[in-house]
Amino acid sequence: MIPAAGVGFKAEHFAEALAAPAADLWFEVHAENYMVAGGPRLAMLAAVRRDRPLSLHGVGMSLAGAADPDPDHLAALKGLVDRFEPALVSEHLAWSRLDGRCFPDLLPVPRTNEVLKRLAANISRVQDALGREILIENPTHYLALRDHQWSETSFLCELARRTGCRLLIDVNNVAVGAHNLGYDAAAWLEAIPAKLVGEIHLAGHTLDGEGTLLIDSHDAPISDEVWQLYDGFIARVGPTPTLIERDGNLPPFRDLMAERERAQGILGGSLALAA
Amino acid sequence: MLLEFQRDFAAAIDAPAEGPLRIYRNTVLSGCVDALRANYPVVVQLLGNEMFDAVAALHAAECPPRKPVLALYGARFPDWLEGQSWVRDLRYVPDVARIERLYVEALFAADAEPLQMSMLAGLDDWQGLHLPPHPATRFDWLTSPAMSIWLAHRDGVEGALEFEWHAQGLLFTRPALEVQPIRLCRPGHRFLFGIRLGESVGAAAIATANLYPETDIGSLFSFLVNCGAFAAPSHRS
Repeated sequence: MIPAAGVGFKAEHFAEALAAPAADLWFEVHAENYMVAGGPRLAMLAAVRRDRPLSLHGVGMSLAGAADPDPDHLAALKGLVDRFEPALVSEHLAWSRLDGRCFPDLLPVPRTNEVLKRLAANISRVQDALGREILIENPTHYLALRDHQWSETSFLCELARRTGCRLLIDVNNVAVGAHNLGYDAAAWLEAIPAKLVGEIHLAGHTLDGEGTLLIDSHDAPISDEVWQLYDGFIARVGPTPTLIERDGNLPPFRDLMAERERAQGILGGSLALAA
Repeated sequence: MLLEFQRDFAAAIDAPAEGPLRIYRNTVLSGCVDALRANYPVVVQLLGNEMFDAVAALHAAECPPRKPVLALYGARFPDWLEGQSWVRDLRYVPDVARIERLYVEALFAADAEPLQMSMLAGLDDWQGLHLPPHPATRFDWLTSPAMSIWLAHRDGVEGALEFEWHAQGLLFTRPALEVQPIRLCRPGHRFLFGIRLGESVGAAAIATANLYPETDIGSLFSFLVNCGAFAAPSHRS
């Protein structure tokens, strides 16, 4: 896949997304939103996919849970991968399923040896079932968990070493986590080897009602701080597929495309430097 | 250890929480409430935003999602509504919810080519003809005027509506990509019910005619076919 910038696809933007003339534009969707048997939603995605590369971003595999991946869910993901032949497939370092109940969230785990082993086994199961590499996204942090045995960056690198997966680095998650837990976002990014980065996410965040925590809300423009971190990260790791993620307060398509053009410019600058 | 951590964490965010835990709790809850809002838009109109959100949060606590596909979340909502004490004053609400659930099922059902009358040309063995309902076909018979209420609210009406209180049938089909809402007559419901149970077209027609002798079964059948209620026979057969 050409390391260009893409946009999260929303049904509200269907006509404009189809008509967008931008070269190398690609789209990402949450895989779970398309895990249905048929109908207009899948037809819409097929129309988008006809002209553009697609990235399938899973939010429900619960890779960091104690249970094996749900076979039905894995089969549904494989069905989408087989049908839409996405350029990228990604999931989260999180859990969202427990004792038959699903949580519509990405819940955290302590980075212990036990969790590392469990995650590596689950990632390998998914990769084996799909017959391809997946990317694992770094989570947002709100809560300082006790019992970590690994730093986050070394944990991610070790997961990649054990499973052959690569990483989806969400720069906004790094910025939000750094603010909430009090670490250095730039130093965090510095510890990620360039060769492991398969995709980057950029999104906006908001301040919690209590005014202390940043929320990874995806409902605002990308912050200046995140743009700066991204600029520095790309200068080091080189051009990498980059997604503009927006879920709430959905702006007109052209506003998302303006953010996409800004990311594309940063990628292009990096390409020029590399040449 | 991991399982224990997950169970402790789940319990912590199920309880009213402060600080960081509140963020997880809110996200989990709003994910469920938003999914119910998306799947029950007319119930939202009937109850109003504030009441719907409170009702949905209660439902999400009692019947949380079992699958991560939230487009299909809320299957238990209509029956759960039926059991709520406040619904006694709003008896049509659970039926409207049933209609919205059938709509969602029709919307996301598998694609299939609908049967057309021309495909049956020359056929005479109606007793031996078994037609598969189209995968998106959904129908019901409800003891309230919920279908009229649903149809009126679908496009967002303002003000109070008056309805005569009587039972109504409904049929959803999806011959192309759009779900078609259809008012279903009692004989039509009996006919489709028989087909769903595995009766042949001939058997369902005779049973329907016996129950409703005034019905023109031929017209009823072509109406249902033209609505897209049946799938075209597969090419293999």
